[in-house]
Amino acid sequence: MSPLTLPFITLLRRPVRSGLTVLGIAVAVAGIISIQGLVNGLEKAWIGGIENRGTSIIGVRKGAVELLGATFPAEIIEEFDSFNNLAAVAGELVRLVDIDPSLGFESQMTILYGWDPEQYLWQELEFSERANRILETDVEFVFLGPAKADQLGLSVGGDLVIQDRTFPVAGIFIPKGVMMSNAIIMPLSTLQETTGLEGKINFLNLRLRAGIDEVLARDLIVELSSKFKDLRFTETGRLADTVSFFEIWKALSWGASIIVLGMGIVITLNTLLMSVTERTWEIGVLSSIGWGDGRIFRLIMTEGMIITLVGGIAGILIGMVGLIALAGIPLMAGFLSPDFSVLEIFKIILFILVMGFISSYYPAYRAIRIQPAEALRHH
Amino acid sequence: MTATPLLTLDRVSKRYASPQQAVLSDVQLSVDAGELIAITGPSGSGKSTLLYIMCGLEDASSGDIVFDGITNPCRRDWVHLRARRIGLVFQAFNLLAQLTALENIELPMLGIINDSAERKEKAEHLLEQVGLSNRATHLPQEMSGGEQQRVAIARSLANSPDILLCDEPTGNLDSKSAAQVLDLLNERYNRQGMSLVIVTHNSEIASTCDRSLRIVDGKLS
Repeated sequence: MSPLTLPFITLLRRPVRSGLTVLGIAVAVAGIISIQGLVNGLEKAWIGGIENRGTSIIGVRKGAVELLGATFPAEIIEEFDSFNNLAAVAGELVRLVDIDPSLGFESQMTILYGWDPEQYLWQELEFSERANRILETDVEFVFLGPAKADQLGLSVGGDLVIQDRTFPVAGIFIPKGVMMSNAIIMPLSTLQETTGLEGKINFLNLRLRAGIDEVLARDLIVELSSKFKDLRFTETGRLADTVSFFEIWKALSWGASIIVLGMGIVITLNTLLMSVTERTWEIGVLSSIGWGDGRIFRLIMTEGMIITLVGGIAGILIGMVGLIALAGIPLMAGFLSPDFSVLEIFKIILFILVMGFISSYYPAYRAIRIQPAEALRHH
Repeated sequence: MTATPLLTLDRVSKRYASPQQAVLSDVQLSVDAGELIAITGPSGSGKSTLLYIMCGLEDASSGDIVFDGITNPCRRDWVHLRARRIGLVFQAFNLLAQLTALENIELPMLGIINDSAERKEKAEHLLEQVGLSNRATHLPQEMSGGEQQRVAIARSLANSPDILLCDEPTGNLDSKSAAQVLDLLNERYNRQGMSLVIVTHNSEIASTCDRSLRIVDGKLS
């Protein structure tokens, strides 16, 4: 036995108390991991999808928080011809719809993309399965992402009902990014008509010419912003920092994490305080055999830090496994890819250490304030 | 030749504010090095309080305490003295339930003896001296009262104290175990030459000591 092993011995020989405390902390930390992982996963899925299709700059309506609802005229695309640094421009209408459950499917929220067959987003689509022939005049059809096709149990040749209209499935496309796997694509004009948004889009995808560096890209954004006063242009990689939706989402997630962290502190504080109260007599015994305040303080602090760290690491693992499992359920498939960055894990470990320190300090302080003779009478 | 007192209490009193109560009144006591003293008295007479004051576990309300030249030791001094020079044996044994017999004996040595192998060796030796080598890995609840008290005595001797203060060391034991514990205390006392103060109800124990003092209503005579 050594001063370092004594706290371990004490904790291990009280398995129920130690186990329950570890569990409480683990649940709190798993909560933080899940919340942060969900936010990061959603961000990664969305931005990754846009980057993978070769879009360098995104244009949206200025001042809009809810981007899907903020539309603008599609004809604006013609005005981009004068910008030499742009290789291609594609308009996009994105809607969230419920797939009609009348066919026996459970109602499912689905991202519906309307792309123009004349523009690069559509033209660069690749397919794992496609109908042999689509008539030139045919506009009433959809392409499904593989996860969506699996969910709906549909393949090429099947029919999908969206808002009382039946669309034949003309292809299963290869998704560029996890979010696209759960998506449905149809011709822009069809989606505009189906949703009553004729002539409207809500996203502009701009692709830069090869060799355009960051400085030139920013100059172009300034130029575009001065010409199109109602629109806001952002480099794809910076979308998460500039789109209000993500800023609010991140702030909420951190807020929720702090609440969960607070719960963790209260759980640990309560347990250690109860432990100190129950062990008042034991602290008196330690005093009686010549243990000073510093040694007793360090013992309680070490016990607290050990239990918080073990609970925290267990929580990180539970959170990660939980998030991976969550991403695998059909409802979430295609909406997020679990993302655990080293930095985020480091931040959470720092959180855990702070939590352990705060929740151990007060009980340790209480322990050394107890009068030894008084403590010994608690037996 | 007069022996130098190891511990002196000069007009020591202890009063509690709530309820207003005088537990000890003007206690005069001197314990010489190597002396064996018994303190007897009825329940609630202040015996345990006196013992706690003698080792700094409780503060006196007034009066002076001198331990080997240190007058009125401060909290830190008392911690140092209890760690190295004062051993305590309690009626309720006061062993930590989560530690084995050997670990309980090692406990006072943490921070005093830095080498863990040396600590363990000394604890094993002490356990052997109290005749419990076969109980080294047993938890207190797995041992009889007499065995627990012998472990507690071994623990109190861990840092070779100058004085051993025993609060009713046989109070919770049957007669056979009590006799074994007393034999052990006497044997350690005779071998180590330390001072021994035993608080007890038992007049038989008191009669075997160098001096027997009686405390009644907080007054020592």
